[in-house]
Amino acid sequence: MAKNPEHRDLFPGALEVMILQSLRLKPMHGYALVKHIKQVSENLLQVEEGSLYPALQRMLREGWLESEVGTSAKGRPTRIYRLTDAGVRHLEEEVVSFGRMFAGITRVLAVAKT
Amino acid sequence: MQGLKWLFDRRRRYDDLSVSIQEHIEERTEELMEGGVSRGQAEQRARREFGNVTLLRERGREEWQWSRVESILADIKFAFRRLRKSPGFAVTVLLTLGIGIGANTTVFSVVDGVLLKPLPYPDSDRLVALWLDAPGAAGLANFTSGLRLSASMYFTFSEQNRTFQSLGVWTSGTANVTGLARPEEVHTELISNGVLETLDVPPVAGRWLTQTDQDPRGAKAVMLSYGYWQRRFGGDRGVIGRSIQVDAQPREIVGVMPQRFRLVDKDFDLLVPLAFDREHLKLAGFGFEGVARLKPGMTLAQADADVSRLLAVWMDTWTNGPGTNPHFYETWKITPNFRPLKQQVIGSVGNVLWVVMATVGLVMLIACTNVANLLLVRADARQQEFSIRAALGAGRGRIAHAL
Repeated sequence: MAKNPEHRDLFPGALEVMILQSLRLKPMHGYALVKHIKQVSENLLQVEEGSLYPALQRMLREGWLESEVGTSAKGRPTRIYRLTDAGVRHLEEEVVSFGRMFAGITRVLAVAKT
Repeated sequence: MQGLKWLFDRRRRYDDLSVSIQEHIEERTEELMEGGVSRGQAEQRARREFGNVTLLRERGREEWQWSRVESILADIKFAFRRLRKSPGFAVTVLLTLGIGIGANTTVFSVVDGVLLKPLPYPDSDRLVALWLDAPGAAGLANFTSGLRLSASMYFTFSEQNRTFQSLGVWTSGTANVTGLARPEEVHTELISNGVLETLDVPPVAGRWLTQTDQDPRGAKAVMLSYGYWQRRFGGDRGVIGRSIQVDAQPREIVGVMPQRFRLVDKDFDLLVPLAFDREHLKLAGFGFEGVARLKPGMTLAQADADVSRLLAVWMDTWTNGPGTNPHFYETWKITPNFRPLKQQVIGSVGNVLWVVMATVGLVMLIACTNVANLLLVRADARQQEFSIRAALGAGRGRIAHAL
C-alpha cells in the first residue's frame, strides 16, 4: 500500500463523515467517492483504498448506507452506495460534534499563539 | 431461517465488495490509459496503488463476521486436517504433551494436598507444636523431637499461660482390649484435657473426653477412632455407653472421632484419658508431645516469651522429691521454640516435594521444547505453502495463525 507523504491519513471518524457527506449529495460507487473527495478538497484529502472499503463495510453494517446494483460511468457493473435515513441522522450528529471540536481546537491554537 | 437469511445476506455482501473493488481497479486503469500508459502497465500500477486486494477483501469481510472467531475456527479445522494426515506426528506430540501434563498434575496434586492445604483442623494456622530446645539435656533432647514436655509442665503451662486458647499433651501407646470376640492389641493415644479442644474436630457420635474423664479416681472413659468403630462394631451407634476392657480396666465408650481424624500425625484405635494424678507429679517425666491453639491475634514469639516466663514458675511450683534442687533444670537451658503445627508435621518432606515439583516442571519444559522443535521442522517443510499464501495476499498475522 503505497503511502503518499503529501497527504495525511484522516483520523478515525473523519473518513466516515467525508463519505457520508459525499453520498448525501448523490449516491456513488467506490472509485467515484475517492475521486469526488479528492476533487472537492482540491487534492488536500486523499482517501486510501485500504481504509475506504473496510469503512464502507462497517457503515453498511451500521445501517448508515445501503448498496445497490448499478453501473459505473463506463457501463460496467458495480455497486452504488446510498445514504439511508439513519445515515443522514448520524451525519448530522457528527457534523455538529465536529463543528464543536474544530471550534475548540481553533481557540486553543489561537491562545497558544499569543 | 433467520440464520440462513443472514448467511445469504453475508454472501451477497462479499460479492458486492468484490465487484466494487474490481470496478475500482478497472476505472483507475482506464484513467491511467487515458494519460497515455499502455494497458498492461496501467493495470499493474492501478493494482499496486490499490494495495493488497486479498487482504482488503478479508478486512471487509471481517466487518460482517463474528469478530475473529470464524478465522480461528478455520485454522482449527485446518490443523485437524493436517494432524489426520500425519498420525505419527500427531501421536508423538500428543503423547509427549500428555505425559508432561499428566506428571505435572500428579505431582501438583500431591504438593497441593501436603503443602498447600492446611491441616484438616479448623483455623489450623493457629495451631502450634510445643517444641522445647534443651541443649544442656544430653540424651533426653535431640534434634528430631526436642525436649518433650512433662506432666507438671502441662499443668503449669495450661493453667497459667496468657497466649493460648487451649493446650494439651499426649503420648502414644498400645493396649490390650479384651471382653470382645477375641483379645486384641490396639494403638492408643493417651491424651490430656485440651488436646481435642485444640484440634477442634467434633466427634461423629457421642461426645469428647472432658475434664471429668481426666479425674484419676473418676469414671473410666474411652473414645474410638472411626476405623476401629467400623472394624469392631460395624459402625453401630449403640456402642456409646457400652463398656470395653482396656488393659483389664473397664472403660465406657463415650464417643467416636470422625473418619480421617488423626492426632496430628498419628493414627490410633482408642483415645484414652491420661488422667494425671496431680498429687504424685514431679518435675521430671519428659514424655509428652504438646499441641496448642493460639488465641486469635497472638504470635509464636509472644507464645515463646509467655512460656519462657512460665518455665521459672514451673521450677518453683514442682519438685523431684526432698533433697533435690528444682532449679537444676536451669543447666538444661530449656527454651521454647514453638513452631506452626504444619511445619512440624511436614518437616523436611516439604523441601523434597518442591524439588520433585521443579523437576517435573523442567520435564514439562523439555517436552514443550521437543514439540516446538517438531513443529519448527514441519513449518520449515511448509515454506512453499507459505510462499503461495503470501503471494495470494495473506497477511503475516494470518500466516502465523495457520502455523
